[in-house]
Amino acid sequence: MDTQGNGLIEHFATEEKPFHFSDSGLDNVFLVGIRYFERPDGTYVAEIPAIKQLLNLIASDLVFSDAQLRGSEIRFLRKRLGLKSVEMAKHLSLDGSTLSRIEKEKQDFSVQVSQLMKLSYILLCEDMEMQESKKRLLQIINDHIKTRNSTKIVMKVSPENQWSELALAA
Amino acid sequence: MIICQQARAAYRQAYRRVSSVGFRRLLLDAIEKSPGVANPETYHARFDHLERGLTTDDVIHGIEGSWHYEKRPIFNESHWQWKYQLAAKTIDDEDLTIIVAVDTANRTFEVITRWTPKEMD
Repeated sequence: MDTQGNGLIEHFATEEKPFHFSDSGLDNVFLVGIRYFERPDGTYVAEIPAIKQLLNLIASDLVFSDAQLRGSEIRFLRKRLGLKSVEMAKHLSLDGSTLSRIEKEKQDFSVQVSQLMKLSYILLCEDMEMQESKKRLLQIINDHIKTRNSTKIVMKVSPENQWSELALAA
Repeated sequence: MIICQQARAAYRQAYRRVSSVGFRRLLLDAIEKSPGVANPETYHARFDHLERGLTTDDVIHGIEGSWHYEKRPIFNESHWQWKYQLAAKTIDDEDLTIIVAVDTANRTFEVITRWTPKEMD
């Protein structure tokens, strides 16, 4: 801690005393290794280098976590994508007001919405760090795409009542 | 007295107002700086606005978007900083005012206030 001539008290964020990055929009993000300043009015000013890389890293952490997203985390990922609420709602097959309530954590949502949000982020974001994941995801989808030689879709049921697609001759 | 005036003039020269083009470059440089790059233009943000529903991404979006000066830049002599008030938009296309204090001599800036006008009522 160091008091400067301009009345600011300088702090250094450590693992023992990290800086709470509340303006990220998430209540559980803390930063270590940055300088921050306490003003005479009790507010804080943080000096954050490479801010966009930091935000992308937080997004990546959310997307690749096996935990279901919270509403505030959906809002964080949407804003990282730079999408308006109504635009994001279309990707999630929701209406804008429902997404708004979800983001404000006033409405529960399914695990499928959480997973769709994560997939949407991977596919829509322009973060170079995410490009490899995007390629792998598209490869998985491609591996499951079969070449269709007919316009007909023929499904056959087995004696065990299991449906499967009937392969047609070209 | 003369020395004081000369010193003041020297300070004013060092802390001269940057053009809108230069100002935009200063802000974008601060945001775009990659890790490992020496960055005097570091993003400084005052933290107390989350309750207004604004996040860091809204501020970045506002700065990167097509803002204009809401007021003429003013020089704050007590802090020796230029203050620029920008009219910008949030990601959700709501009006957003961003006040940025710039120390042009040291090329640092601080986002000190931002709000949507309707929330000021």
